[in-house]
Amino acid sequence: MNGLSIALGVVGIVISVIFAPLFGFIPALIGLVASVVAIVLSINTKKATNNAEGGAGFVLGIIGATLGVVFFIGCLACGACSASYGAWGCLGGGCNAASDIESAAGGSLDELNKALDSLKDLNF
Amino acid sequence: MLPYIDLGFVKLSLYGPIFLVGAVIAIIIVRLLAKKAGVERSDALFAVIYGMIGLVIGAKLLYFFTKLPSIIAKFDIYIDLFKMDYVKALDFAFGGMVFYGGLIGFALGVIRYCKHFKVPVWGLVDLYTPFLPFVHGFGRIGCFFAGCCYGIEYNGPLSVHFPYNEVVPQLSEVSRFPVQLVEAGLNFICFAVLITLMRKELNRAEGDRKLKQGQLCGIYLVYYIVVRTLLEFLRGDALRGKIGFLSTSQIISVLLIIPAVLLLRAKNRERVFFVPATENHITKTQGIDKNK
Repeated sequence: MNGLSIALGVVGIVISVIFAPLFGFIPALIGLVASVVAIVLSINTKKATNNAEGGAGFVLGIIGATLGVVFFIGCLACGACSASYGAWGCLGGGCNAASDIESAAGGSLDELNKALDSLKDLNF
Repeated sequence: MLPYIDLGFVKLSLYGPIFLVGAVIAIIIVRLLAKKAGVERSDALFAVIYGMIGLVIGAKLLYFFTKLPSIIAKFDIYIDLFKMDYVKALDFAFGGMVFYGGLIGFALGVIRYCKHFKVPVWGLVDLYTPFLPFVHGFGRIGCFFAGCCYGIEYNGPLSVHFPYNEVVPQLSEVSRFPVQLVEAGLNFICFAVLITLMRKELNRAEGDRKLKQGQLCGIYLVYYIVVRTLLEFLRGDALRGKIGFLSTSQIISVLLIIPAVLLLRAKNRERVFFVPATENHITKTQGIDKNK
């Protein structure tokens, strides 16, 4: 269990730091989930071994979860990073994807906004 | 006000970091008070982590349930939206959080930890309770910066005119009542009252304590039910969901009256911060070293 928590902690950090800026919020979410699982497994290890083991997985999981949250919320707020757009991501001092999507998408972006507005206008 | 800071490589939403600052300060103080409250420091930290996982899941789930009627009513449009841009579709369904969902999720997470590792629940409940309004206050400040959970149109003293917010464009159309800051202020006042009660009880001998297990939580629930029900009438964001003339949160407030009363009644419960006598506790207090 200790080894698995360390492995998942590392996986969470790597996915959050490398893949999230490239491919958007889905990798950030995966990294976040992996890190949370690492934290839970390390807590179980610490309780089972009276805090003798599990420290590394715990720390790695906390770091991965923090980075995952930062990139998840950041990429979601930006909204331009998605797997469907490929590898633009948020690197390079500002996201170019938003303006490129707008100029390339044109009419289909209007359709998208109309669909979103019709859902937002609903009250019950 | 300031939804995010542009760091160049990523836009950092301010809501999360502000909430995190409040949570970290609360966890540090909880760990400092844990031993005096008869709780292991490691349990105080680990149970909070379980609680935070439950908080996020609960808050997101309840937000989704408030959006579900809209999605069902216009299911074909939602599917079209999902096909065009699944990011926006998921953001519509899960992009927000509801406090009551977070509170219930946090409680379930802590209870799960206590049941799994056989830790007394009431000690943690009484230890955490004053910090719930504390962290929530930070969250409401985050809401003020993000522009969510905004107030009704209002032009009187202390009204706020938010700058244009691309995520919530209707926010800046009129001046608004600063309901987020009012709720944050009330939460911090509640925290001050609860932490004062807690410290008074901790400084008394166990037999002289006036409160019982769970009553601190009951006091907090009653406060929040009243405050939230009233402040909901000053909220201008109708998108969070309504049933009839009551909002989702007002309905949940009504449902929480019975648990609040049961917590305050504290029938058949021990005094607050009661530490059950275990073999280790008895040998330590009697100065017996079992290793000799």
